[in-house]
Amino acid sequence: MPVPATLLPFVVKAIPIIIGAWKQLKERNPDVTDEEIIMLLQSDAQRIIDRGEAWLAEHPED
Amino acid sequence: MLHRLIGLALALLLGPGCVHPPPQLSPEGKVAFHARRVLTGVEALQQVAIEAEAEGIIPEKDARAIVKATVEAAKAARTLAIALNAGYEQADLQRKMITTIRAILQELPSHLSPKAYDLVQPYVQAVVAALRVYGY
Repeated sequence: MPVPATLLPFVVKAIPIIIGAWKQLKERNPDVTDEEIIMLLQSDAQRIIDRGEAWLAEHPED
Repeated sequence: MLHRLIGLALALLLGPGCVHPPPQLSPEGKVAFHARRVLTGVEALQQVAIEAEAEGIIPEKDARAIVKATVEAAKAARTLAIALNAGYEQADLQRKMITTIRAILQELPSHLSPKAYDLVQPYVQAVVAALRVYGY
């Protein structure tokens, strides 16, 4: 499927996102406890918050 | 567009029926498990917005709106995690998180240019697919 040249860098970068999401979903610890998974949820959330807030700090509104 | 196929692939990964929680988890653990899948979609949406702005595909204003939305969604999930850890009743917490994230996603188009929304819509739909596993 042809990809417009302007979108190609974006598409190239989007593919690892999907692969990363798939790997995260497939990475399973069958013995995970409630406590562990709740902690993982909290750390996932914090990572997204930290990255987002860092980016927003670098790109303030005019 | 290839990015639509990518978003669709993500929606299929995150939607109901693709990955099931380990059976030993309690209802609270299962809520956390599904919430992590929602966050996988939120994180992908955030990353796509940041990358697209860096590539000049969407303006900074649109990326800012998307990143703010993902931060608010993640805060809702963090609140859920903290409350689950404290032993609060999981059904109400789950409902609050889902309602909050849905509202954030529903409001997002009003803050974006049509081009930006068109670009990220597949990723927004992936998060919606992940929320659907809760039956809401």
